[in-house]
Amino acid sequence: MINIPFVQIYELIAYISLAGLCLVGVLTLGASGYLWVRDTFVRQTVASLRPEIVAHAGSSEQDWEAWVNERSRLERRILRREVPRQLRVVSGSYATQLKTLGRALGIDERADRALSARIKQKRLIGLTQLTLLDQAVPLQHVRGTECPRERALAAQCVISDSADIQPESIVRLLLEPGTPLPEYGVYTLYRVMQQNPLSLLGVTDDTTWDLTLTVQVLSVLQYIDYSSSDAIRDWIGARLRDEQPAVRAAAVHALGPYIRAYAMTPPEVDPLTIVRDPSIRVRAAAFQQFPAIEETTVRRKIVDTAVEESNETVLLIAGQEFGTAISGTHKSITPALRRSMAWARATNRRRTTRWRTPWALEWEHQPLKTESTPELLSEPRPTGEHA
Amino acid sequence: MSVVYSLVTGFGVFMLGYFIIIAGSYLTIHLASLLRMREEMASASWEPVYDVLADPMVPDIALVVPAYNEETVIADSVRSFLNISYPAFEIIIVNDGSTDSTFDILDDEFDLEQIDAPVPASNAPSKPIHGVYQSLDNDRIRVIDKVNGGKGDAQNSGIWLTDAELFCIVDADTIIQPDCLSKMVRPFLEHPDEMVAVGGPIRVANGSLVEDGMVTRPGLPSSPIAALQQIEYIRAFFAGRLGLDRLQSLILISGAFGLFRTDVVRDAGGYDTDSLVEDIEFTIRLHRHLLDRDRSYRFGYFRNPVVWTQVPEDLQTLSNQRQRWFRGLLETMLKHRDAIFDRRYGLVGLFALPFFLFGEGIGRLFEALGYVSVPIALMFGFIEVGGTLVILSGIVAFGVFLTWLSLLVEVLVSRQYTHPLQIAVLMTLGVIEFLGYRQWRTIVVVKGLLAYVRGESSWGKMERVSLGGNQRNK
Repeated sequence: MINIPFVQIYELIAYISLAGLCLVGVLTLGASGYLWVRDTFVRQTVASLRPEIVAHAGSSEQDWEAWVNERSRLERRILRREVPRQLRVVSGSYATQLKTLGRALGIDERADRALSARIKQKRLIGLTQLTLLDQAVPLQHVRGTECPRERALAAQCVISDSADIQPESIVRLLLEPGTPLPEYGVYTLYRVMQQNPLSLLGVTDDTTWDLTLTVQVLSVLQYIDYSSSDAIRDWIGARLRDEQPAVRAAAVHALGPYIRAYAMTPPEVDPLTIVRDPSIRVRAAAFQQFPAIEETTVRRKIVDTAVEESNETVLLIAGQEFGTAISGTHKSITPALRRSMAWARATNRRRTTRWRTPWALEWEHQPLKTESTPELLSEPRPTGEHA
Repeated sequence: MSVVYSLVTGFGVFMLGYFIIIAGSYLTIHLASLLRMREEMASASWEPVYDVLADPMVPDIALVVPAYNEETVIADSVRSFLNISYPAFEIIIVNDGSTDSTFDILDDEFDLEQIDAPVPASNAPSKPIHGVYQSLDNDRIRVIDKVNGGKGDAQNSGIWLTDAELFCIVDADTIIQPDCLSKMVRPFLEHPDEMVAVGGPIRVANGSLVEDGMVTRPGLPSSPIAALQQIEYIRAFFAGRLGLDRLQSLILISGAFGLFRTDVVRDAGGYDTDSLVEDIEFTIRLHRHLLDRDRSYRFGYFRNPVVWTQVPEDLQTLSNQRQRWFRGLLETMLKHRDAIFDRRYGLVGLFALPFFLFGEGIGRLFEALGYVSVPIALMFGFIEVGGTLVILSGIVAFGVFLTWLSLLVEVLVSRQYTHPLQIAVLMTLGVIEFLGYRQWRTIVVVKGLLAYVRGESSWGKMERVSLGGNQRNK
């Protein structure tokens, strides 16, 4: 008989694993039991308090401070957790009442205190809770921070308090560091600029923005009526000369509101240069935005360029947007363009102009299906099977 | 005798080293998932007040649904997809040459009309398309009817036809939570220039209550085979992939559910139409494609978005599926062998690929070798019983320990199964798994290896059961 080598090491592993197993087993079962009891209790408490809250919110006597004082300490604790959660899903007068209840519970004071915490997560929680309560935060609290999430949350918090919005400060708060914004930051920027497009102007000078942020701002401008502002128009015009195709494409989309307002591109912008841009993405953006141009000669030249287009994706857009004009003026067109126009007619679906430009990678420069994937088109796979 | 002793000792050293490295890797991944869990819990505590539905700037998403002989589930699935709350999405169902009435059911249910024009996606790496159909009932729905080419092939035709910036791959037998896309898209919005793919966990639908195309009450399957798979899914999705993501080594975004950037995927050539496990092959290739071009990119994995899928309840179907997975894994590892231990591919090359090869691939074969050699050695008295039992108990304890660690993540983060009794049942299943199921699975793996050696490339047959409405899945 041969003795198994290193059996002591295996023995050690077995003991360690058994110890770990016991520990994790106790933790898992314990945590599941604790959370189940806690959640059941919270659910029952909330269910019993909800009718009272609804009744109190509907009554003429709405002294929430007194109502809160009648609650036990545990109930107040549960409500402090539950009210912000509810505020995410309710709206209207009930939400207003819940916000008052939240203040009576002291959520706002705790959130205010959290803003001075050294731990970022606590500050973020504080900002979120203040937003839910529609309570503004003094901007100096977050001015110094480089964290885009914190700045975006602060901006969101400020605009939630509709009483005193200073668009320029909010835009500055969002854009000054020049780093990309999280999604709710971009949305906040959109909401602020919808109210006041000119608020952008204070921060567009002397700024070195990250590429993504530039694209994000241009994407927002696509949805803003800035047409009366020459400064914004000029700023977009300068971005059309950027070396990055993603920025140029976003700038073309950002020209959309101007073109729709005046039925032409700004005087300093040459639409023909854009439709002949080497980037597929820029040309695609141009054919999406330029149908609103009414000037006959320019339109004719755009249509001529569309007829010469070689990329299938761009052709499809050109066919959708300029199909009628092409068939009215050009007798001989390429089979590819004819296919695109036929597809556009048959689908009768125009591409919606959505946020199709925030992607900062220059993907159109990558070769398609060549060097890395020749095997894709090699042998046919067996048929009749699928998982 | 000394030669035999040296050989046995040498083999013992090798096995011990192998065991320690593989067990260490599994432990590292599970501990990384706990770290990731802590981060997730922290970020969940300050989730911003942001409504994707109100944002006009969100990108379009195409749900690409490959369907081959899915007549029992396709109508319910599409109806469940229509429940998704996202402002800009379309559903592209790719009927991959089904031989049953999949297409007819789609036509009856959603009133299809053929788009009377040549299909523009002429450069798609897929088999020819018979026609593209638009639903007259709901303009979100399109159906591609094409020559059978396999799952990857069907996915490619959908990916090349859509003009959405993002596409989401979904299996035809899955149920999606309505808020799934609005949550999944957020990493793309937060890192628009870098995020390329986001995966999410897949749950076992068997045993859950499905109402109007949605899982309203998660439950445990009554079938023991499905219940044991439940454990595997929890381990794979709530510890495995969460941990791999934390270690920047996520090389598998499931083919049943994943959100991708359309332009990048097209640029990488789409799915491999010949692969048996198109998802892992594609995820690895996407990594390599981006790393070869020195791109700064991110892959994401989020515990929140949940989709539900049916798992096989009979051993034959499960065996077919697992054999295919194993053959596919070997095939993929062989295809990407030059990237294994290649420093240019960072953690993907140095950790993820070797882990899958030596842990999930060769490790299984060593396990099979153990199941054969140890009983023989014991029978003939070559090795001592006490030492063998120590080793076996160590391995089982370690395996159960990892399973329970995954359940801890489930309890603290995912919280789909909240009742302690459900958790106790799952913990018990984690032990029972070692009493026969694991050994059966090893036999399946060996069958898979033999099939691979024989050059078989069959997918095997999968039986579907209707997802149903207002009913509890078996």
